[in-house]
Amino acid sequence: MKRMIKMLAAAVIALSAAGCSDAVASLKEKNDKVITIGNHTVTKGDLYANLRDTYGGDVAIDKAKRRIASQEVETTDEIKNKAQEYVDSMKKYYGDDFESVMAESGGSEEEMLNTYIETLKVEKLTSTYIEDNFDLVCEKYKPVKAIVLTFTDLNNAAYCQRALSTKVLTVEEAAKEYGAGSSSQAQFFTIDSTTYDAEARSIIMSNTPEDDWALTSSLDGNTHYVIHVESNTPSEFKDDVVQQMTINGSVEEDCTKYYFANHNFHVYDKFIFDQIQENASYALVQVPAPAEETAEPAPTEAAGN
Amino acid sequence: MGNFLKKNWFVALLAVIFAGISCFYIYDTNKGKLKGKKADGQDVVYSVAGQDVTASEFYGELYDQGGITALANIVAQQTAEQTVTATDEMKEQAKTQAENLIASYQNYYGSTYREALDQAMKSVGYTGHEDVEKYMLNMLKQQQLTKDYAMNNFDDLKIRSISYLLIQFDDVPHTMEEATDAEKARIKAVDDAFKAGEDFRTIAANNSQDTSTAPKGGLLGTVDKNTTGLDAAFLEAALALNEGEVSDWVYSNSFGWFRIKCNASTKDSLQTFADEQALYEARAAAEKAAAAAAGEGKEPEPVNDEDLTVTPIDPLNSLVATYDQTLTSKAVFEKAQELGITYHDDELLEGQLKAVFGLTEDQEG
Repeated sequence: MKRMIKMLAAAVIALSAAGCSDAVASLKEKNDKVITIGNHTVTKGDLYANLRDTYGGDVAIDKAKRRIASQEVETTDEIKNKAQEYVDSMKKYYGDDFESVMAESGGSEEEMLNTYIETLKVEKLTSTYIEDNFDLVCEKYKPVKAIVLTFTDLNNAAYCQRALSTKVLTVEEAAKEYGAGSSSQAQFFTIDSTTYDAEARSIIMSNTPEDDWALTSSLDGNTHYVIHVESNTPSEFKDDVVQQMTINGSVEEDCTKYYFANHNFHVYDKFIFDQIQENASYALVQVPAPAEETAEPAPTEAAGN
Repeated sequence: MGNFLKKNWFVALLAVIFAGISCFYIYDTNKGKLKGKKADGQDVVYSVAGQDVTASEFYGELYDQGGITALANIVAQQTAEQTVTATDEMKEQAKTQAENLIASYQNYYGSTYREALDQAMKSVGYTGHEDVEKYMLNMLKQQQLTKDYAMNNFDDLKIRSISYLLIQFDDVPHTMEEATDAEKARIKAVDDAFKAGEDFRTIAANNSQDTSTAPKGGLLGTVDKNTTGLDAAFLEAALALNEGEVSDWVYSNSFGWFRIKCNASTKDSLQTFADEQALYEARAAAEKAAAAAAGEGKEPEPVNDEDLTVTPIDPLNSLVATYDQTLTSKAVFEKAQELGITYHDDELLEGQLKAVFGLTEDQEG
């Protein structure tokens, strides 16, 4: 009986301790010294914790993207040539100091070239994502090409709209005749475009090429728009879609999320996880996802542990 | 065993229930926790595309991104910490600066100001927002280190306190090779004032077209041979002057014509001049206020020196903060070398640190 009680007590203690904390990746060489200044020594563990806490999440995401890009994006001659141009421009900039600059940074010309190739491939990743998921991207962002002529005078806007509706003037002629303040060329819009007033954007996103030239005004009444949707079939202007959406921040996040999920990006360190959750939560695609944090204090740890 | 269980079935039942509750407790506690991973005996930070990135590899990635800069910050902080004793004035100043910084973060970030401050403090090697005052104090210590370095190398650096007055071009950009009649008239007025024996401050206050320095009697601040950001002809003329000397007209393609005065060119006279300047500025401000209070055309109340609020001027502040920003790096590195720096196991680290500090072979202090 006593033995059983002792066993139960031991089990209680063991089970209490088994409520583990979140994982933190420990550096194997954390006690290796890096530099000593006077009476203060900095170890690799100290430096690791410092750098991890400053920008660990950003570095993890950036390096993960580079690894993915190396698999998803081909190293074309165009990319190689562009990278070589960059290295040549750096050599020209530093002149005779180039070799010593490389030596001081601990790098080499070849490493600079390879790093820039990686950078270019990461840049290509978003356009690759858009091309590979064109219908999905268009369904979400609804790209449209529309001509939007702006006026400060309502009468001019009305005359312009009438001239265009009755096809008396071409767009260029009407814009010039009535003093439009914007280009007569078709512009690219998506559902998250913020150029122009809400009233104008509403017409841009809802009208079709078959609809007549529309006239509307801004909420404050100071700007008047004459609008025609040229195309709401993205496949008709695919190159524009790829080019414009590549620089769309939301699309870049979708791209990251897509590739991170497809390539099983998984974080095993609580500090890195929290940083990414704070600054780029779309990049966290792991399953199962840890529970939402409540008011728990941040994990404390010895340097590099 | 069977007999034991028969006799103590209730205890056994309790044990089973307890074990069940404990297992559920462990499961429930751990289900939301982030699980770790090992690869080849090392902790993994993240994995992607079939590759595990261990902590050692991640350290390399982090170091490439900004390891040297972080080490440079640590060298500067530790050098100041170990060699400069904080005065009560520095501690008070640090406290005020910390309060001001926190207030500005609160204003900008609202309820998330602590997180923003945490990030800012971590980026300079501290743990979080609680360290703001410590950070400010260390900055003041580094500033003191720099000022001590400047005074120790005063003559070599060619430190000068400089004032000037400017006669601006009428046309900008300046196209005429000769001065216009109006420009010549303004130049003559200055020449006449010098001939009449007026002091430099008065002439500058009344004639200089540089509105930022004219109210201070033309005071620019303290410069040295490494100063950048000033007109090259201006700096060359300023450094050639000795204490009390006023230059002839110095022509600048970009601005116009300068007359430059060297207020102080020795360690002793630098603070003496700064004290006089502080009194001058306090008096000028009081006279301006008295004139405004009296109203246009009326005689203002006389200003007594005893009633003035004089804000002390530290003549090295402008040198350290503005006109020679290379000084802090040199001062810190020289002092760090005196303290003793040991580079463990990395032949490149010394050169890399010097590059971050902006030091070439002949600038190591």
